[in-house]
Parts: sequence; C-alpha cells; structure tokens
Amino acid sequence: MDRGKIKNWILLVLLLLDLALGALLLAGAAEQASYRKLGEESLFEVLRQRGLTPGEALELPESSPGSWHLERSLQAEETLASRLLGAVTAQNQGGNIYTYTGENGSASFRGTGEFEIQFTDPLEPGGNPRRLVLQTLESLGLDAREEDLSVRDTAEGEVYTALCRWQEALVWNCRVRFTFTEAGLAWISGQRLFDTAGEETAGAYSANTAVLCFLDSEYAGMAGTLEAILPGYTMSVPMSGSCTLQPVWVLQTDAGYFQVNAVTGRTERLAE
Amino acid sequence: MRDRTRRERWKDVGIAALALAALVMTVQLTGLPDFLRARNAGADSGAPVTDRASLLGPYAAAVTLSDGTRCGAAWGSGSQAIYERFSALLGEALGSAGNPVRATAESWREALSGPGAYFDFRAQLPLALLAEWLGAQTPEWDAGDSAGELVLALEDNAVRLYYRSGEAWYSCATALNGAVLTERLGEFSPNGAVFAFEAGEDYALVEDTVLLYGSRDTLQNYTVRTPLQAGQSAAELLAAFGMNSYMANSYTEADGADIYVEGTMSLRLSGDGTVRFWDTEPAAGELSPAAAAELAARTVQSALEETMGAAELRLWSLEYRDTGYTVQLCYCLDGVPVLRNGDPCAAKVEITGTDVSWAEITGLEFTASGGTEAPMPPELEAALVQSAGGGSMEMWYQLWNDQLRADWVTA
Repeated sequence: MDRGKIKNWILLVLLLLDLALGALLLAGAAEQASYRKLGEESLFEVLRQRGLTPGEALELPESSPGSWHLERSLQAEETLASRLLGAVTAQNQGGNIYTYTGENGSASFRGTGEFEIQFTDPLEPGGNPRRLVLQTLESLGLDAREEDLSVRDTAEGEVYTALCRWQEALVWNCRVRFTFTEAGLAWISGQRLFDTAGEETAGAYSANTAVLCFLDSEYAGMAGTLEAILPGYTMSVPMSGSCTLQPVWVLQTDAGYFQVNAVTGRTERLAE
Repeated sequence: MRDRTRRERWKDVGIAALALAALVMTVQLTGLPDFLRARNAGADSGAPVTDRASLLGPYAAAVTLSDGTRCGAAWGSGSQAIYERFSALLGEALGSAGNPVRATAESWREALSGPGAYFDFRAQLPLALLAEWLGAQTPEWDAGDSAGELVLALEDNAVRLYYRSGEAWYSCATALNGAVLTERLGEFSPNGAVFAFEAGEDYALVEDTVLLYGSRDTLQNYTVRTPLQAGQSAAELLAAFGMNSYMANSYTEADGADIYVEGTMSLRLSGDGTVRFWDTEPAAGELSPAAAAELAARTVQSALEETMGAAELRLWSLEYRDTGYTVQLCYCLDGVPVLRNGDPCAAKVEITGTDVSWAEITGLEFTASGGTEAPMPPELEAALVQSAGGGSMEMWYQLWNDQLRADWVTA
C-alpha cells in the first residue's frame, strides 16, 4: 500500500476518533449542566422553605474565585505617582510610609495600601468627571468600570467613589474617592491593591455553600428575596506591604448586601 | 507531481491537527486539568512560608472608640479579630516611631482611656522583632527595647505609640495620621469592656490593664497525650532538623531514650515526648530578630506539625544572646496559651549564627474531647483578686500532669 493510501486511512481513523471523543465531551458537558441545574433547583427549594425567594434572574456562578497574595513594589508606586504628579522625589517617613512630591502636587502611600494624592493645580474634568475618574484609576493601575462609580455632594465638593476590581470581580473594601472642587479634581484618597501578585490559590466555598452559610447566619431572617450572587474579594493587610485577597460571595437581597467569606464561611452585612 | 506533493503536505497537516485535537480531548476527558488545579490548592501563592499572623498576636486586646466606649476581649478569638484590623497600623507606628520618652502611670492610663487600640502580648518582645514581623523597619533609636503591652493612642489628630517595658512606660510620636486611626476605630461597636482602673474602688488593687466585661468565648475541652503514644515518627523529627534517618547513627540509652547522631548534629528522643537537639558547629552569620524567630518557628512546626493535633504554635519570647537568640514558643488552644507545670514553653530554641544550635521541644498532642466550658467571668475573678490583696490575672489552659483545664492564673 503506498504512503498516500496509508495516510488516508490514518486520517479517517483520527477523524472517527475525534468525532467519538467530541461526542463524549459534549455528553459530559450536557450531564454536568443537568447536574448543575438540579443542584440549583434543589438550592432554590431550600431557599423557599427557609422563607427566602429566589429572584427571577438569579443564577448561581459556576466557578469559585481563589485567594491571591499581593506584594507592594516601591518602584511601581513611584511610577504611579509620577504619572499624575510629574517627576517626583520620594521620601521615606518611616513605618513604610512614603511621600512623593512632584510638579503638580504630593502623594502619600502607606504599607496598608491606603494612599492620598493632592494636586496643586486641580485636574480639569473637561465636562466629563466620570471619564477623568476612570482615566485616573487606569493611571493608578486600578481596574474599575463606570457602573462601579457612585457620586455624592459634600461640603468640599462632588465626591466620586469607585469600587475597584481584581480579575474583573469587585474588591468590596477597596474604594478610591475623587474629590472635585469648582476648579476640578483636587485630591484622591482611598485604598489601592498592591503591585505584584503570586499564583492564585484555589479551594474556596462554592456559591451554593455560601448561600447555605448565609441561611445559617443571624442575617438570614432580614431578607425576603435573593436577587443575585456576586463573586468578589475582600482585601486583608496583616502586615505592612503585603496583602491577601480573600474570595467572598456577596448576596444581593431586598434588605441590602451581605458578604459571605468563601474561606471561613463568616457572614457580615455590607454597608450601602 | 506538484499537486501530489501539495496534497501529501495537506494530509500531514491534517494528521497532525487531528492527532493534537485527539490528545487535547483525551486530556480533558481524563480530568487532568482539574487534578492539577486541585493539587495547587493550598500551595504557595507567594505568601511567606510561615504564617506570621497566627504565630504572633496579643492574648488580650481592646479598642476605645472616639466616644469613649470600648470593645475588648480578655482572651480568645475576639482579641485576634481586633489585632487583625490594627496589625499593619501597629507595624507602621513602630517603624516610624520617634525617640521614646519616659511616660508616667497617669499618662499610660490616659492613653488607655482615650481613643485608640491596646494589645497585650504578655511576654516582653523586642520592638525590633515586632516592627520587622509586621513588615516595617526597626526604628533607628532601637537599643534592644522590649514591650509586653502597647497602645496606639489618638492625641491631637496624631497617633502616639505607648508601650510598657517591665515596670516602666514610654511613649513615641509616629508618622501616622490621626484620621487613619479614627477610621479604623469606627469599624468597631462597643461591647461594654472596661479596664480595671476604670471600674472604681472595687477593683483598685487589680492590675490596671485587666479587661472586665467585654467579649468572652466559651472554651473547648481538650485531652492531651505525648505524640510517642500516638506513634510519632523519628524520621519526621530528624528531617525537621535537617538530619537524615538513613545516614544518622542511632543507639538507645539506659533510660530508653533514642539518640541519633549525624556529623555535628545530635537528637535525643525521650520516652516522655521531649526532643533535644544540638549542633556543635552551626553556620556562621547573622540573622535579624524576625528571621531568627521564623527559623525557630519553622523548625518546631516541622517537628510538631503532624502531632500537635488541635493546638497552634505561638511565639512566646525572644531574647538576645552574644552569639544569637533564644526563642521560646508556646502551645495555644482557641487563642489561649497553654501552661505546662507552670511553664508556657512548648519549645526553646537557640539560634547561633544562622542555624539552630540547640533546641528542646515538649511534644504534646491535643484533641478536642467535645463539650465546652465557660470560665469564670473576669469581673468575678477580679473581685477575688481584689479581696486577696490585688495583683494580675491571665487566662491560660493549665496542664498539670495529664489534666488540662482553662482557668485564671493570678499573680
């Protein structure tokens, strides 16, 4: 048999093999989807029995976020400061508190992730403060979307607050505030995420388990409807310059937001 | 001819693509990606090897809010929950602290009563160790000062650090902004805790910083036995100290203790679970206090990890020696340290140069036996201390012979 015919036979065998493997994969995926649906329906039944109505659009996320460990980088921090203030001079205040003084103001960054930036000449929003806020967040190496912004009027001026994201999920205690005076963006303060990340560590509770933890908590009786379950993180800084992003599940209910720690199962109510 | 060649080449490409697709789908079907992901769960994510947060923390803590009310815990998880919110701030305060000035008992009491956070580590710990442990630099003025109790006090919109070293008090200015501390204090709700000196004449003779009322965890009941009774492996112990069970020579002494010798290192495993190690030629060099504490903790954890049961290890003390350090670690159950025949020490480790040169470890295995106990409320115990002429009181798990019980220890 010539080589051409042998190759034809090999192609045919491989094609049939791929079709069979593909069919098995599809069957497996369909089976998993049906198990997921069954699990979801069972959980919804438990919710109804415990007096909590599943919202019409309620869906259970399939995968659980893992934990991350982030470390501070002074070099990255100086770069962030210089993006907003021009060329900066760094000064170590001790206790891992660094101040950066530049052409257009000064900044203070702490080992807990908290920071403050004050502009000598406020930045002009050009009629669109939201866009300036998002651009500034990008300059600071932070990820946020327009729907993550809230605004309120204060005695100092208009204050935009952004909730930051990590890997597209919200970090619920990582907020940055932008204060606009009449002249423009005058100062920024808040919590930032550190600069260098290790590998993601898996092993957190699933959304189903988080809901059950909520039902066992002191807050279960407060809510009547469970509208959504959102994956997210909470930032913990046990020592200066080093933080852990712990995965959480945030339950959006008619009584507000409740956060379930996906590592410990601990439930707490989130401030609005 | 050229068409035929091109056709053959396309067949080669097709075979390679179909073979690769088959390989990928086969891997997916075997579940190998999920297996590898599960194996990575708990693996090093870039965090420090030793869990510093669990190895060192206060045994009692309190937060005084801006309105003068207080949230405090005299023992257990409540004190750890408070410390978690302030540990990084404490590190910043230590690292940016100015020269300490001697403080009076009165100013110490004012610092405790005013807005701020209080931490009781019981044993005297070098400030250099605390600062470095919490990620900050050692203050330039540090001359080996130690402290067992510390306060972050809000004064004139700035944060002042107070600490008690033996029977003296000191305070330092820090670079922390008062607004930062105020914001952190606002995260707590009061639970009625008061310090003994604030509770009136009924507790006038009780140590100032004894926390009355406040939160009180019920404590679990535990049984204890030596790991040898549980079948502890000598090979694991040897490995913890860098010895090889295959290379080490061994013999048994008259009292039944097993001795292992490898080069300059020796290890003695007694029948009562006590392990002694010594190395006559430790490596030269110098470690910082935090690095020495981590080395000691890591070594003892490796030796005891499989056999401690429900207990955790905590750093108890660190002392300077001419050639290194002496580090002591204690067992801890539910945030309460264990006192064994009057001694908190689970392990004593001498660091010389960059190595462990000597260690003595008391191997114990703790198992929850079901049930809990509610220790006497601190305000009742304090009344007894007052009537006995005054003094201090601390919550311990006390181990006498084989009996383990949570109770107050007064002095």
